[in-house]
Amino acid sequence: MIAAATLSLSQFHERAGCGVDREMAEDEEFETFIRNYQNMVFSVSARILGNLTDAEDITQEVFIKAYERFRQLRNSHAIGGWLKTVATNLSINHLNRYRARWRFFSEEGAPVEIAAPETEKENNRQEMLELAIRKLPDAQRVSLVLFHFQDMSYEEIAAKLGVSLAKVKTDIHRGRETLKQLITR
Amino acid sequence: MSDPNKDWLDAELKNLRDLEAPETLLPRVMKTVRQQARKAWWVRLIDPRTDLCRSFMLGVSLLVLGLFLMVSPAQFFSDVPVLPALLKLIPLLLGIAGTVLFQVKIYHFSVLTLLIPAIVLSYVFLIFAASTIQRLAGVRK
Repeated sequence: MIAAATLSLSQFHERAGCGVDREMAEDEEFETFIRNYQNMVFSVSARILGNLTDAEDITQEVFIKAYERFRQLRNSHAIGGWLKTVATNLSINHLNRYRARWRFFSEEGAPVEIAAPETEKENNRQEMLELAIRKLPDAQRVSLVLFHFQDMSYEEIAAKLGVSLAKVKTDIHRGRETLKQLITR
Repeated sequence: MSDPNKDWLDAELKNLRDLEAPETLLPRVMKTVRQQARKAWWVRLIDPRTDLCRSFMLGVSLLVLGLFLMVSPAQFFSDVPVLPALLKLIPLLLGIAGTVLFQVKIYHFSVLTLLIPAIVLSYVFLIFAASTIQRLAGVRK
C-alpha cells in the first residue's frame, strides 16, 4: 500500500516536473521566436505609426496575441505574414483611435522639416530616409508604407483605410515627392 | 522592359533594413506573457473580451429594466406567499421609492424628472473628463 502510494507520489512529481520543464521549454521557444521576429514587427509598426514609443507598445501587443495562439503558429509557414498583418491592423487601429487627437495636435498642413544630421550615426542615408518617413503626415506615411513595405495595391490600401483610390494615389505621390526632396537636399 | 514609374527612391526604400527593436521589448513581453499564464483560465477567457462582456451586461441590465417596467415588482413580490419576512420589505421599499420619485415635487417637477438630467449630465461630464485626461496623457507621451 505504502509502496503503491510512494509510486504514485513519485509519478506525480515526475509529471509535475515534466509540466514545469515543458513550460520552460515553451517559454524559451517563445523567447527565440520573439528574437527572430521582433525587428520585423517593430519596423512595420514604427513605419506606420511614425512613433517609436507607440511602436514598442503595438509590438508588445502583437506578440501577446501571438502567444495566445503560439501552438498553432509555431509550425506554420505563414507566421511572418500573420505577424505583419496583425502589426499593420493594430497600428492602423491605433492611429484611427487617436485620429481626432492627431488632427488636433499634428501639423498636417505644415511642411516637413528634418533637422540637419548632428552625429555621425545620423549622417547615414538610410537613417535619414527612415527619419523622413516617420516625419511624413499620417495619411501620406501610412499609404506609402503599405504600398512599399507591405506590397499592397492601391485598391487594397483604399479598402483597408476606408478612403478613395484617388486619395491613396495622391498621398503616395506626395509622400514620395517629400521624401525625394528631403533626401536630395 | 523596366517600369518607368520606378526610380532611385524605390531602390532606396527596398534596401531599407528592419529597425532594431528596443532591448526593453523582450523582457516586457515575457513579463506580460508570464503574468497572463498565471491567471485563471476564465480570467484569460474574459480579459480580451472586456468590451463584449460590458455590452452583454448592459444588454442584460436593459432587459431587467424592461421587465421591471412590464411586471410591477411590488405586486410580484407581494403575490409570492412563501418569501421570508425580510424579502417582504422589498415591495414596501419599492413602493416608497416609487412614491418619492413620482409624487414628491420640487418646484413643480417630480424628483425623477430632475434626477434623470442630473444622471445624464454627470455621465457626460465623466466621459469628457476621462477623454481629456487620456488626451493629455497621450500628448505628454
